[in-house]
Amino acid sequence: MRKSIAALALATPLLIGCGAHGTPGVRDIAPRPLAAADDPINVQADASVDALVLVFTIDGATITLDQATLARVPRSSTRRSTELTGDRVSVIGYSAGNRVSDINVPDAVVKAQEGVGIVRTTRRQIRLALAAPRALDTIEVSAPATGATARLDVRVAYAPYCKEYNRDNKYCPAPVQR
Amino acid sequence: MTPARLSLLVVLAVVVSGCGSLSLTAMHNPLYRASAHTSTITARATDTDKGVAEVRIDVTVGDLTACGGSGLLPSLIPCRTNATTQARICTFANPKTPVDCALNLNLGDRRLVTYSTSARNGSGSSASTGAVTYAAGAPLTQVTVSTPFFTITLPWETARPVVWHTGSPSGSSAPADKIDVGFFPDDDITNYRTFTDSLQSVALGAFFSTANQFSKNYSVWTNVYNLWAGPTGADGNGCTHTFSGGAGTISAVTDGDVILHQNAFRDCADIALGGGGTTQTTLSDASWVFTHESGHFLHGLGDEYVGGGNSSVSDPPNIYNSQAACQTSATALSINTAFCTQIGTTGKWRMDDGNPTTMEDRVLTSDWRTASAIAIGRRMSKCASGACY
Repeated sequence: MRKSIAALALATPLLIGCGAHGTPGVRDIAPRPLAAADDPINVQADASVDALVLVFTIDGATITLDQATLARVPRSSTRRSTELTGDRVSVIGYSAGNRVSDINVPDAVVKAQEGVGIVRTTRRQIRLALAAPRALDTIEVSAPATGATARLDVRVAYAPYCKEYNRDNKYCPAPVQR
Repeated sequence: MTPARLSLLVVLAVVVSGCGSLSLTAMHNPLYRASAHTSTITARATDTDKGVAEVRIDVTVGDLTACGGSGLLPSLIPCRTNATTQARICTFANPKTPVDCALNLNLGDRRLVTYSTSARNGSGSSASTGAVTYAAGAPLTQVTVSTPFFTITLPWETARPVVWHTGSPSGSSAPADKIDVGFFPDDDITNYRTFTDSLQSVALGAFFSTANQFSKNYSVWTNVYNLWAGPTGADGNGCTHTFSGGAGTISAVTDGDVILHQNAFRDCADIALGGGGTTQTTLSDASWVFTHESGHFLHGLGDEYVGGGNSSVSDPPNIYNSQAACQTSATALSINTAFCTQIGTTGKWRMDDGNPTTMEDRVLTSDWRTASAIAIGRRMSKCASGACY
């Protein structure tokens, strides 16, 4: 009997739906829990990687670090672009002198301003995500468009995660060699 | 939702299997709002031959998080917990006119919604749309990270998905990579709701409308573009564009960023394969302006009008330094070399087929033409191959 009632409950909206052309019969399937591990959104997160998210300003030949933040980001965000046209900024990440990762991104030096024309901005902000599978201490930035190069200390990004050095804490950059 | 409004909300994804005439579109409204609200998901199906028998909306709703857990760093792209799935099934007596199936969701703060839709026609053929995810309600503002070495609470913001393609339409070959476009409020927009309303207007007009020629390309390729909203912290003034705080970090993981502003200034964009630009939202043709600016900062196209930014880094270029270079390129692209025209007396050359083109003509009837059209087509091919850039 229970099965019959269930079948009837299922069939009724369908029958109602067949009664009118443009007016739908509506049946709702009640909410049921979805385990976090089965959620496709979270599966995408599994493919993300540790990165140092950097914001810096290039003003002519001078490079200043504005922000450095550790975060999980989509792997594609840290991918080295294959595009070689236009001006580029390249960034290399180092850990205790060892090259760990690199990326190149467009250098926003040439702009189009409507009704004005080409505007060359020697001062521009660059934002990127540099893969950081282990703690980075230094980045090397090169922006040939304005002859800018710099080595920047990025250990500040790890400060919230590393109150004091612990070699087993992967978010602790190695102490500076003296 | 009125038919007039729905007509604006064109193709999110359409897949037809078996029968050639069953079509299905779906959209949520509002696209994004950073406060508790009622969200309506509407699926529209049409089959002028067999009629529509059923339309189904499958929804997953849960709490937006910054992923993390198990000692992982927080993420800039959101995850979800405490999710539930539900569905609405609308049945019809095979009408041959368009039918709608709608589902209202009452959404509180920090909610993340994913929906997909499917339809069946009178002869049993089916169609479906790929999963789309969007955020709703007040955003995440902090996160706690725990490892064996520390437990800390940090201020944190994730990117807020507006239209995030998180699934593939069945039977289709969805692009392997997407172009992620971030929208950020300028500091001249002091009310975030004003920003999200403007974002909706610009995005609908640019990516989800076939009413005007200029938006048809992006609307056809809409499932290549993920749209994100960012927090405050961006400042655009002429060609000076800066991002700070959460806006800075989130803009680092998008391919292109646009600062939406209200005050009048001449909009400016990077000529780059991935960069930034601005759009004044108070203009009546703001969607067109965004599309034009995106030609600069997403596709590296140059202005094709006299007095514009006549330089390009696109593939192929749409601006040339000589008539010979233009003609050589035109020949390679199978474009009539007679189309090569100097831009005024600038010494720069372009290909002009006589039709309104989005990098030159500020009219809603414009389109990507000649070299610009090929450049954007090649970008779509690269996305399909797995790397848009």
